[in-house]
Amino acid sequence: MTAPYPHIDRPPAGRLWFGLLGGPVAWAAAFVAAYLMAESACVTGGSLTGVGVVWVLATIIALAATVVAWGARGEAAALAPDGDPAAGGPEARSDRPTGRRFMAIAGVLLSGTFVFITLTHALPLFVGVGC
Amino acid sequence: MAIDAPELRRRIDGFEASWRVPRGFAGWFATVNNSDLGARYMVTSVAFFGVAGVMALFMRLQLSVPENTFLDPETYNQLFTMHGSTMMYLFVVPFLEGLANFILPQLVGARDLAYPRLTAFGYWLYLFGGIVFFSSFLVDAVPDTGWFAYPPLSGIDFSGLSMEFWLLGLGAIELGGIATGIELAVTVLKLRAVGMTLNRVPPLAWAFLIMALAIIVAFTVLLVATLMLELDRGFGFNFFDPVAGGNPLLWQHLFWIFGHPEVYIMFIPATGIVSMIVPTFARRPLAAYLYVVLAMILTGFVSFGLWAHHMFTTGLPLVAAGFFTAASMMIALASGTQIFAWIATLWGSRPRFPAPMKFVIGFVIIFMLGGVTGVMVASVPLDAQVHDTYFVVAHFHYVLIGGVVFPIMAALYYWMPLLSGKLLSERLGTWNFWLTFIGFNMTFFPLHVAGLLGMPRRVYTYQAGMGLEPYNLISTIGSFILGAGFLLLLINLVRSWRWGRDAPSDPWGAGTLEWAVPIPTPNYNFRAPPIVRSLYPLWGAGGEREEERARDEDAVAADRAGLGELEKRGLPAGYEAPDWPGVSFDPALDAVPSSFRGTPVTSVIDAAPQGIWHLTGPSYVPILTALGVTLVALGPIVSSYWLSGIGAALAVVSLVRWLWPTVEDRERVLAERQREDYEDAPDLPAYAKRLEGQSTSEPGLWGVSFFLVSAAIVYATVFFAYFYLRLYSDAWPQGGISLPELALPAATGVLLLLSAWPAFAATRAIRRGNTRGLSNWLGVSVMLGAGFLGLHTWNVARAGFVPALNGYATVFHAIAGLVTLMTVLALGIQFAVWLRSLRGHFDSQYDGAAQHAGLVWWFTVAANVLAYGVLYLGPRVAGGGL
Repeated sequence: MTAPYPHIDRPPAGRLWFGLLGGPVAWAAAFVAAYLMAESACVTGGSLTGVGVVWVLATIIALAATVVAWGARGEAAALAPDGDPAAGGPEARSDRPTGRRFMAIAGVLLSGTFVFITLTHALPLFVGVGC
Repeated sequence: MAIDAPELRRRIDGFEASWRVPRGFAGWFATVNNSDLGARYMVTSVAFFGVAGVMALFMRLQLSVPENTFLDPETYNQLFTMHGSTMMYLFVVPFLEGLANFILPQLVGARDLAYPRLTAFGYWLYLFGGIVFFSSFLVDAVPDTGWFAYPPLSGIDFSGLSMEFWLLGLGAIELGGIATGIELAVTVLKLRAVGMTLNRVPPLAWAFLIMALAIIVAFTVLLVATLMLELDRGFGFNFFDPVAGGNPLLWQHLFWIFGHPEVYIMFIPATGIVSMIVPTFARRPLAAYLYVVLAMILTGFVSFGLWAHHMFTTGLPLVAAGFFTAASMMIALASGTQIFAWIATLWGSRPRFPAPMKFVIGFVIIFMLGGVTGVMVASVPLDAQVHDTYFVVAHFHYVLIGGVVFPIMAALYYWMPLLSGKLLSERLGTWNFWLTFIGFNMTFFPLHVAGLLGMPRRVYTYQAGMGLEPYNLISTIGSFILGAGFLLLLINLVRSWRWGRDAPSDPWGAGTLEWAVPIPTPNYNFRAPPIVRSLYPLWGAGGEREEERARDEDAVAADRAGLGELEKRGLPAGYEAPDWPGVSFDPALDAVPSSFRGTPVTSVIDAAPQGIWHLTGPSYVPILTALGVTLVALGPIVSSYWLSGIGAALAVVSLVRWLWPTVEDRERVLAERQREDYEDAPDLPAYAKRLEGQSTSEPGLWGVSFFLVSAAIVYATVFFAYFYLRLYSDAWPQGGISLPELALPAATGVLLLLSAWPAFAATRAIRRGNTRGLSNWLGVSVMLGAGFLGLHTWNVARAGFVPALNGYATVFHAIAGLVTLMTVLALGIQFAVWLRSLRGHFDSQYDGAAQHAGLVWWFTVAANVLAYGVLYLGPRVAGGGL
């Protein structure tokens, strides 16, 4: 098989990467920041409001990543309709996401899960758990 | 124009010569081949496992009856420290790295790992670090502070020479681990077979990718932490000394930021192994592949949010403890997803249960029990009760032996044909499994009860009459049964390796690519690179259809016989294995390149062909570099800093040789690129002609990027230390130190920022083929960088305090030292590239090193500007925490 390998460079890789990693990276950054801020607030007797803000921001980013991934999934599905062999290889199966569709769907699920995870972290703050 | 037989023969001869492994004793030290080094990794780690296992038996003998005097307290402390450290640092992770080294190229269809010399460097550092660590027995200075080495116990006041062995020996191993992590990650991302899109990556390759990325982050944190402790011990720094403004809890944070992900660094590849074995013996594809992959990614991320659940009893704020509890619960969701996927794969199938599958079933049972107790100890109230009791010991052995060692044993049985060309004995395997399974549960299940009854861990004995006797006695008997099980595995390995039955190709009828490699495996794995169309290329194009999965064993055997015949003919006509509908072998790249080692490079998402990566051949440079690094570590142990000096010199000279390609190397690449038959071959894909260049798609760029991720973690770790110490300080700066002045540091920072532009201009110039522009701009960049270094040194010298003064002075100098170190490194790279540019080493097609040097410099500028912000603006933003 020496013919040029068929593949489509869309949806753009940047959208796919943001969709996949936006949620988890936002969570990771927020986690470290929230921990240090909570520790600081509890040591100094300060407010925990900033911690809540951090989690809300992380949730928004994770949600944005989910939405971007969802859009990429739609684009990938449109560009690589069922049965299109160019979707991911010469004999791609129609009922499985090929590379970019796979990544987009993975982004929807992963970043979507991190929306849930960031909310679970923020929840104690909003029900009054303190230092 | 088709290639004629004589030309193909010439090509194959050249190809095999370039892949030849050096013979003899000297050659043993020069090999960089992934399968050799992977096997060595595994054999070495199993040897360490045996030693650590014997230590465990000694401990169990001591605890078999109350108030036993078989071991004295000091020896007991040494044994549990060495046992834990060996298992965690010298056995499990290195074994999995070895397995990855060995199997990963075959899994993804590559001829070797991305950086063969880095493979060798990682192994030698691991071996030398392990030898340093165990040489503590020779001078009766065995570490005795536990595998976690909490200060102040591990500080210079309470632990002498023994901790030097622990810190410096393990430091070398951590460095080797990071090197291995970088190359595994790049291999998965860039050296996959053409067509192996992300949805066709085998689960174990995903697992190795996540493991590798987690290693890069977690091991870097530990490396920095061990360096901090060494600086405290050897040079009077105060990171962890509360009297002088440090904080011992800082160590606990840093250690567990490494320590908890470490568990998942081991566990994720273990689940990857299971996700490979279950489909093979169920004879159907893995159910919910997407969800299994996502569960592994989620586990990889969330594992970094669990560290403080080891510190619940240190007085965390309630709300912060809640973060860690929530994260711990999330991990359980991901693990549960995988278990359901394995059950779903087996559901309704007609699975076979040879030895690998027995160990997988044992894994599922034991790991689920360990997972349940894991959720329990993630809860603050329960953790407060069972903390530091044998309940925790039982829990983590269920996770680590059940969750990791059982899959490792399954892997040995499963992939042994690729390792040795032999099959392990099934009869011994069955005995091996049952002894291990029964022995394990006898050993560790009773310890749950002992822990709930209050038996503390890390204490060499216990009093009679507390109800602990029966549990400990059963546990000790069980430990010997468990030991017998492991011994049987060893016997099986040795016996089969020497006298075992020859394995046919793909003896299990598996569907993944590693089984397309002939047995015994050639050094290059695939002479003609595979083109993949399926997640299970040996099963079918889609790999999912019932009729494709249900291929009968006769057909599978016929496939294998077919490959054997092709191999015997030596010159595969098209190198096609016609009955493998999911894979073909590219005849145009059969034995290409033939004058040096190379393997195809593909794009990350689509696995579309991009070029051919030049792999390095045998070399003594890796072992010499590793030896240099080890000597650097040995110096403080033997109180001979001249030895460290020699080691540093050896390491630097070796590194320069390592990184300095000869003009012949380049000319060889260019000659291969321009070979007449390449130009005349219409059936040769375009990517075969792009041997170098196109730096954005080179694996080198990814390798440099991962190195920079590690460097970023170093900065982040030191910044964390800065803010943590500041949080618990009455005043900041501490001890009456005045606020640092701003004017000169500001000018220094501006100079550094200015140096980023010529670095950018240099890379842009070479991309356009302007070699003179490259040299000129690099020269400017180097001069500005050197100016920054000079001013920075002046800034630090003017600070007016030494690191040993207090916690603030320690972190100030730590950050300043890091800035110096990174600048020297990046400047050295810039300077070397500048020298090479003067010698005409670069053009628009051959510009990788120049692009990489630019990237390293930009990172250095960004990180150092941030560091300057912390150093000079940090104290002004707010005062101390208390």
